[in-house]
Amino acid sequence: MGHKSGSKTFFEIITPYITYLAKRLISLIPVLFIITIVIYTLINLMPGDPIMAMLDPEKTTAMTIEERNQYVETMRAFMGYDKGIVARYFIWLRDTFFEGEFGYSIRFNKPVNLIIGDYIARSFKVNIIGFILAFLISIPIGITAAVKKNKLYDKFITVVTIVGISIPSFFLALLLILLFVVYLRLFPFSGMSDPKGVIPDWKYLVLPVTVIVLTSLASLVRYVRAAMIEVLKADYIRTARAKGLTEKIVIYRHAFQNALIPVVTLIGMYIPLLFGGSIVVEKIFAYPGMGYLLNEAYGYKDRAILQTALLFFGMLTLLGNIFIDIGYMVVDPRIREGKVK
Amino acid sequence: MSEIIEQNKGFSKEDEVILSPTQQIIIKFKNNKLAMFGFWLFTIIVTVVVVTHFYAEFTGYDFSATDPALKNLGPSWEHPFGTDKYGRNTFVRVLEGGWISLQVGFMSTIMAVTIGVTMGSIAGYFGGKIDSIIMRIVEVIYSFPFLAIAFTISAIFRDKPPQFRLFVIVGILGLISWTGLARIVRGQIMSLKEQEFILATKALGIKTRNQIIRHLIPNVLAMVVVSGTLTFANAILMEAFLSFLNLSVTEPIPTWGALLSKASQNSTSLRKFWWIWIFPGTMLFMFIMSINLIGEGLRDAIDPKAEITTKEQRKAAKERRKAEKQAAKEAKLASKGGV
Repeated sequence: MGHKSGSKTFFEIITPYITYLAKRLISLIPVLFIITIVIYTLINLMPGDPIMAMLDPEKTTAMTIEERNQYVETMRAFMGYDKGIVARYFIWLRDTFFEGEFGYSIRFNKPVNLIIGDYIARSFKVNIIGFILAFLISIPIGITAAVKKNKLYDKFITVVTIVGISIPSFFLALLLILLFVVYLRLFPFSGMSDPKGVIPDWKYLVLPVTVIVLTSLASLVRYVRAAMIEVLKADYIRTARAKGLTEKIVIYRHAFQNALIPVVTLIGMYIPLLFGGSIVVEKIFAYPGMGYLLNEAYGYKDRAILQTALLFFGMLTLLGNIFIDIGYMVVDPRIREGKVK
Repeated sequence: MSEIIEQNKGFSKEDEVILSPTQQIIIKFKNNKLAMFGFWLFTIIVTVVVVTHFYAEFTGYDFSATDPALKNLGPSWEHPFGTDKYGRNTFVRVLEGGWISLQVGFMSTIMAVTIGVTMGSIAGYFGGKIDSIIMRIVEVIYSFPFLAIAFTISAIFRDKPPQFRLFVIVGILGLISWTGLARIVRGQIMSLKEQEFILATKALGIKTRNQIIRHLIPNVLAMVVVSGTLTFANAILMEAFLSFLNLSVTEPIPTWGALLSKASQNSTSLRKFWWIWIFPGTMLFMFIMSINLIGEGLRDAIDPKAEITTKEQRKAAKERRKAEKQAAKEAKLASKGGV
């Protein structure tokens, strides 16, 4: 972006990013280690014996007590619960990070590896549509509100966004259901697809996506507006205007590029949500994404799924933070050249 | 000397108003219509909730008492918010739900603010190793998805009595939500401690503890208050989320989230028994909105760059603008007429 970069080779431009990325990834290892300990401890503090929960009542009622005990023991060994709590932690770490095995789900009677991908993909589908829409709508609104600061339009936007950040997503979801499902009968109540194939699949996506867009829109608009207001105060904006540039160029070329920095942090913050989905929204719409899976797993005390899902969320947040820092480097040459920490 | 006297001519003692920062903040806040609306809404909701709670306490109102004769009644004068499927008065239950929210909000915010300010100021003042340890802790807590971790901890205490669970929820929210505040305080203190007045306290031999408590923290207090308001709103929202998932305080004690979750099972109950969920939902929404409005108003009010204007000044400015517009219009008309 700077004047010098034209003469640099691609390799020269990319090197600082790679060294930075490597440094950050190494510094993440201790944090990740602590996160695994916390997750493991929490999950194991949950009451209830997971082996008893996975016993099939039809199978066990016909057994004698001895057979039953035998059966429980084999199950225990199969799930790895015959070992001590500390040993199991290290086995979990080894399986997860070196072998890519996330354990065996008692809810589905399948290895977690086989199920979790579908749930992540479904959460991602809803959220990526929602976030792209939210960004596309919020950026122009935020900019215009900042440009017309303290005018009627801006005041109106301020009030609307405060309403937006204050309304709980589940209340909004219920209101939308009441309007669009119960009264207008436009969309199905919940689920992901119609077993009879009468209702097209996209109709199931409309309401969850709407809730995601509306709830994230308000905070996005506020961020963009605040960032733009800050930038519009800067001296170089006055210079640009004094130079006689049109208002359009001043705002979209000069101001917005610099207001992008806080917007980049927002994208980083949304990364975990993008794959993780929302527990509440997915519960209301019975949409089988990660949030829904997590909710199910609590009901079944399915430790393998819980551990995997929580670790997945934690890692996504950490990666989101790295994304933010890299984003800063790309957008801001001062940070790229190491002048500002 | 004579010049100064000349300049100050016609300037009496009464004109010279010196406002303390707190007075300035109050004036700016009072002039903000939206913030004042939030303030009054907040006051009204809190008063009604507190009065109802103590009224129920004194009259020995039984929240688990059921009456099959009053099942599923719509709103009426006797039951302003209707009754639920056990014949319980939703009005009292909604307001008692507010009492739970208030408790959770206040206690967890106080906890989060205490931890956040302590950790942030220690990290910011001492720097070095202590700072990096504290910031690592912040990073670890920060990398957990808020709801998922609250969900897990709450599930551990699933079988405990409601009163105990209230404190569990407070503890979870307090322990998780201090990180943002700690970051803000740390950043502020890092820049403040380089200033001359801290050098002066060091030269005077003031104890480190007093340097932090008496001289540094008062300077970040305004930001702490603003951030604390947002923590408060967030705590109430999170409590509602958890109780919506039946992981907060449980029956027979009502909570706003739980009241909503009952109605959300299917579309029939959503339409037919609308009073069960519309009222607690609206209350929750209005309560969070009032806190956000106050927070927003405070944020604007503590900004030293914002001008202090009284009502009269604003009125005068409006009139002046109007007059200018009028003049411009007349000038335009005149020039047109001239051509």
